[in-house]
Amino acid sequence: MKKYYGIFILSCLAVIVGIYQSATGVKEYTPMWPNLPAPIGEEPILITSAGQGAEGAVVHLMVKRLNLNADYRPRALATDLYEYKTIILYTGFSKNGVNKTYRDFQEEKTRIRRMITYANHNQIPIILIHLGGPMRDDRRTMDLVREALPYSNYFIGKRNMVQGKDILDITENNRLPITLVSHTKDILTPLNSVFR
Amino acid sequence: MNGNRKNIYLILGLIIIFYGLSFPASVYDWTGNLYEMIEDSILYNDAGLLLKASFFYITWNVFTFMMIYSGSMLMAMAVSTDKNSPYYQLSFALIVLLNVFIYNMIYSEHESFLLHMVISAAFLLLQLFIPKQPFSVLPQLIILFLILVSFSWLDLSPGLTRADLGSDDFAASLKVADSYLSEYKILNNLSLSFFFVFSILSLIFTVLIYLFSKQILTIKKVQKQEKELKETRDALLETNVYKEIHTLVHDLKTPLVTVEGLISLLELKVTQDEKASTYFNKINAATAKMKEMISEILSEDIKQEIGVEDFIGYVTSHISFDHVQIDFNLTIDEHVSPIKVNKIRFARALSNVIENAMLSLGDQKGYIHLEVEGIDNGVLFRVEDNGPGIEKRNMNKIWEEGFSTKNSSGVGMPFVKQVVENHQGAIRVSSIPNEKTTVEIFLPY
Ligand SMILES: Nc1ncnc2c1ncn2[C@@H]1O[C@H](COP(=O)(O)OP(=O)(O)O)[C@@H](O)[C@H]1O
Repeated sequence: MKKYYGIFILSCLAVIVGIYQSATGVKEYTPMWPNLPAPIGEEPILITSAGQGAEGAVVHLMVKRLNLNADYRPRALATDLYEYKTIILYTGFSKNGVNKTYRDFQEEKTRIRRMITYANHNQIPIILIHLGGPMRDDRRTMDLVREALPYSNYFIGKRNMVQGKDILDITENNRLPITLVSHTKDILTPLNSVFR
Repeated sequence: MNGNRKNIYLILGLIIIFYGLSFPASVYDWTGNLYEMIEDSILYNDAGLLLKASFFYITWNVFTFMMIYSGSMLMAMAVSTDKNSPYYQLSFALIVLLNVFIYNMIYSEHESFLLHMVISAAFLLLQLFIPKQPFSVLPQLIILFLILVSFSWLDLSPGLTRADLGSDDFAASLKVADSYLSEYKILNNLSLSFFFVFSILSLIFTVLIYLFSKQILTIKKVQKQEKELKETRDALLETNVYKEIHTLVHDLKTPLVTVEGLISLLELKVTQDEKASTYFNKINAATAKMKEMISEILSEDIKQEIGVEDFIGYVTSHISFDHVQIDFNLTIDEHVSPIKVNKIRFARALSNVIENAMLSLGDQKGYIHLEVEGIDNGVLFRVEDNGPGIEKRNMNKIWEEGFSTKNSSGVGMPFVKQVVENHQGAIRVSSIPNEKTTVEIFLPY
């Protein structure tokens, strides 16, 4: 029986960690503004990334599906913004993605900050999309969200989040419209309402 | 020796872990491709590419953690080589989790600790069923591989995101991509089927290894039994030979009696010759001696009085110390009175004890002291050697017939005991392994 002691202790620990995680982890959040009252964006649109997560291409696919005039440029700089009338910023930190651009996290953050400053100065609306939900809820992604969210004009995210409360607090404090959806495909409706 | 081995495990484990931890950094170009593959699968709405990317991701993941886990296994073996001990198991899990932590730090990743706890537990459990054998490393690595593949697929299971599984970079990208492309259909099916297939494979593999080693074990057992059978057969043959000799010796008595009778008749007839009568005396003495020897062989109870020095001379004359490096030392108390024993049997017993001492020394340098001492109401024979000795747990077994640590018949000590007890004596064995082993035989007057 002694040979099962170690495994038994380990399994108990795993169960405790599992219970702890499901208690503190993903929760469902409901937004205050379920929909956007009036369109706020205009074409042409720049789709760019905050954190270089590979899944950002999904945003491009959706925008294409809505037949909107948009460019997908994950690594765009502030100097590229003059051509566009709306920015869609999707958040999600990917170490591998940032690595591919030969930048580091701080540089990526600086790029976002410059872009936001330029956009706010020129009154270009920023739509923030957080696709990852609980899968992209890490410290660095949330850092980027905190950087961009107060200066954005609209937030679209997932209902299931770990850090959802932070996001709700920021949008409430800044009186930002916010829409949270259950499925990725559901983003299409609020996204459409931004432009039409 | 042992400490050395542990150090080797430790260093080897560290090296393998180091390679495991630096592996993702060394294949950045390749993971860059994986990143593009995921991006392209979304941009071109290509589920096939997503599938391919998933396989790449699993391969990359398994490769990294294969090294981390096997390195951790080696390092845990430095703590305890016994896979059944909780020390080994907990150190293994601890080292794995520590490395997951370091991995997360280095690569800003989010590998789930929970998942790695479960993988460690599953691996440790299956490991219990792999018996210790010289080449058990390979099956262990194969099982580790199968478990890692099966559980890595869980990272891609969308349903388990709730349990904090698969929030590492590629897994998250793949899942988000799939949430749009197929609403999780692809990854749900893929991850669960591969998880089950590989889990079952690892179980089957473990069972096969377990059965296989059991088979080998039974074969070995059968071989051992066959050998024992052969030995007893030989021993039986030997006793049969002895029996034949016994009857032969017995049959010798009849012609001897005839000879004796005829000689005494002849003696009566030829009385006047001086020379002839000395011849007759000699012949009579010889036949008497022959009769005595025959009786002694035939009967255990026949005892004769013999001087101790003569007796020891008789014993040692049958043992040769020439070819061994043994320092043989003999001390006989001067005032010992003659003993009354069955010379042949008692001598055989004593020489058996001396031979045991010699055999235990083998080619080693050593000594054998034979002391004969007169005490109150008897004589004490003491045979002492400084060979490897008898382990405590074997102390009682040496009296069992058939017990032997040198693969021989194991009838020596029981025979000695029987003979000594037949002489109303007592025997005592004490041993401090590698220091001295003493056999004392007490023979009362
Ligand atoms: N002097 C000794 N030193 C070490 N071991 C001994 C000694 N005498 C007896 N033994 C142990 O006792 C066992 C049984 O001895 P014995 O009955 O004579 O059988 P065998 O000589 O056939 O092995 C030996 O195999 C050996 O392990």
